Amino acid sequence: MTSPLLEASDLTRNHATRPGVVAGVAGLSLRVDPGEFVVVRGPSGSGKSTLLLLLGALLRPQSGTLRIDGVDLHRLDAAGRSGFRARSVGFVFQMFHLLPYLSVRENVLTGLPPGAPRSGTEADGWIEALGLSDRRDAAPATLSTGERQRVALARALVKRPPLVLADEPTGNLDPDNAGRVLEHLERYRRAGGTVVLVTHGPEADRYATQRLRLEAGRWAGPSTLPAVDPSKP
Amino acid sequence: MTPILRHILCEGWHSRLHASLGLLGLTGAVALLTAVSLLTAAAERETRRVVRDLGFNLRILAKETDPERFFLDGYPENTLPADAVTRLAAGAGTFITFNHLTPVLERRTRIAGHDCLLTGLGDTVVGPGEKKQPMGFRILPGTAHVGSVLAERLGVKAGALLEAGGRSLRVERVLVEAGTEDDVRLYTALPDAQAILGLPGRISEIKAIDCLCLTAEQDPLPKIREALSRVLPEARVLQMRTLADARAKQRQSSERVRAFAVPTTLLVAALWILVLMGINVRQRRAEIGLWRALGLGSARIAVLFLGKAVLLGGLGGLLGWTLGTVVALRWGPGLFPVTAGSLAADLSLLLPAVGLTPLFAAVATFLPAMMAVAQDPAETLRSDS
Repeated sequence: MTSPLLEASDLTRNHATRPGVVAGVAGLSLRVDPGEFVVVRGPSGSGKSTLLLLLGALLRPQSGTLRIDGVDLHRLDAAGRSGFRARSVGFVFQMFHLLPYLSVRENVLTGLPPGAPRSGTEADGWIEALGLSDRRDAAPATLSTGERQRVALARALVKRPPLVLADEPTGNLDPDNAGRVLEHLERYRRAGGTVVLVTHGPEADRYATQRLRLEAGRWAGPSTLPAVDPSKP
Repeated sequence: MTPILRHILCEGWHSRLHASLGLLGLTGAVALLTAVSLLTAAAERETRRVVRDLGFNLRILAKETDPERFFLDGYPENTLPADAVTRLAAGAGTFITFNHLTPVLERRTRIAGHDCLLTGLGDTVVGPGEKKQPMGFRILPGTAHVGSVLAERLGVKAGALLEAGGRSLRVERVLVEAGTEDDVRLYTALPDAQAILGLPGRISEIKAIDCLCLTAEQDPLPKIREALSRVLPEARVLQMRTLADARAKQRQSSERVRAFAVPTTLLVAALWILVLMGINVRQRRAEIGLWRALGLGSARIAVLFLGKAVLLGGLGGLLGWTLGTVVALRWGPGLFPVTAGSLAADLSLLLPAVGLTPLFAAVATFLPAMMAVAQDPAETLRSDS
C-alpha cells in the first residue's frame, strides 16, 4: 500500500470573520496519496480556503494532526513552517498575487526557496511550457488575466513541490483560460506531482482522482461523479 | 545584487510617489537639522562677536574700593597686585566662571597740559587650550592708542611721538570718535602705564566676562562672588548687569532656537515616516501574505521594509546635508553679517547625516515593519487586494 503524501486527522480551525459569524473547518480528516488530483467543492463560507491554508501551514489548526511529505506540521515552529512551505508547497491563488514591480520571469523566480540557486533555467522552462516566452520581461500590469494566472502557476511549480494547493485558480478566468490552467495542473500531476484544488464550480471534476464536498466546515460526502484512476497517465 | 536588494529597489521604483514622499521627508528633516546646526553655530559666533564688542561685563576690584568714589571716577582708587590675574587664572574652576581676564591700570592724569584718562592694558588670559582672541586690542610696549578728542588737543596723528611721564610713546593709531570718555583716553601697555603713574606691579582692576551658561531665571552673581572669594579673597566683583543680561539673552535665544528646532524636526520626520510606512504596509498586505506563502520568514519580510527605509535614509541623509548646507550658505550671511565669512560647509555633519539617518528611518519604520510581520497571511491572501 502506498504511503500517503498528506494525512490530516480531525482538523479543526474556527475564526470570527464578522461579529457573530464563525467560519472554518471542524473535525476534518483527509488522506491524499502521491499523484492524486483532489478537488474540494463547496459553497462560499464552507471552509474551503481555510482547509487549503491549513494544508499549506499558513494557518495552525486548533486541534487535530497534519502530516505532509513525512513532516508533522503541528510540531513545527513558525520558522519550520516557513521552511516547509518554501520546500514542499506551491500555492496558486484566485487573485494571482503577482508582484507588480517584478517582471514575469522575476515573479516566477520568487517561487524558488530562499537561498536556492537562481540560474533561471528552471524558470525559463516553465515560462516556455506555459506559453509565456514572449512575455518573459513584461510587467504583470500588461498581462491578460489568463497570462497572469499562468505566471502564478509557473511560480508555484518552479521548485517542483510535492504538493500544489490551488485556491479557486480559475475563478477569475474565462472558460478557455480556465481549461488551460487546469490542463497544466493535470500535466503536473501526471508528471508525479500532487494537486489539491478547491473550487465552486464543476470544471475541475474531470481531472479529479478524489472529489470531496465541504459544507459548513464538514465533509458532506463525495461528489456524484466517479473518480479518475490516478495511476492512469 | 541579492534578490532582496533587487526587490527593494524594484518596489521603490514601482511605488515612486511613496518613495519620493519618504525621501522628501527625510531630506527635509536632515536639511533642516543641517541648516539649523550651521546657523545656530553661526548665531553663536555672531553672539560671541557681538558680546565681545559689547565689552567686559565683570570688574574685579580691590575689596576696600569705595563704591561711591568708584562710580563717580569711573575707576577704583585702590589697587591690586599685578599677580592677582595670574593667581585668579590658576584658581580651580576659574574658567568655568570667568574668562578673558584682562589686567587694567587706570587713572586720571595730565599729558602735555591736557587732562586725560590713562589706561594700561595687560595681556588677556583665556582658559587652558582656548584660542580665543584677546578682548579689545593688543597694545605693544612703547606704543599708544589715542582717543579722538585727546589726539586733536595734543595735535598728534598715527606715527607721531608722544611724551608721557618721562616716557616716549609712538602713536600706533588714533581711535575713531566713540562719543564716550574713550575719546579722551590714552591706551598704553600695562608696564608703560605703571611706569608713567609710578605704580609698578599694581593694577586697578581685572576685567572679565562671565561664562556661566545659566537659564534666564538664574542669577549668576552669587556664584561669581562665591568663586572669586575662594581664589582671590582680597578682591570684590561688580557685574555690569545690562551687558551681562544682553549677553545671556543672546545666548539663551540661540539655545531656545536649537532646543525647539531639533526635537520638533525629528518628531515631525519620525511621524512622517511612520505614516508613510504604515500606508506602505497597508498597500502591500497581499504581497506580505504572498511572501509568507512562498516561505519567507518574518526576518526576511521585515528586511524588505527596513531595507527600504535604510536606503531612503542614506539617500535622504546625503541630499539633506547638501540642501541644508546650500540653504545655510545662501541665506546665512544675510542673517549673520558680522561673522558671515566664517560660514562654511561642515563636513563633520556629513557622516552623522548619512550614517544616522538610515538608523533613524529604520527606527521610525520598525513599528510598521512589525505590523507587516505580524499580519495574518490567511486574511491578506483571501482579500481582493
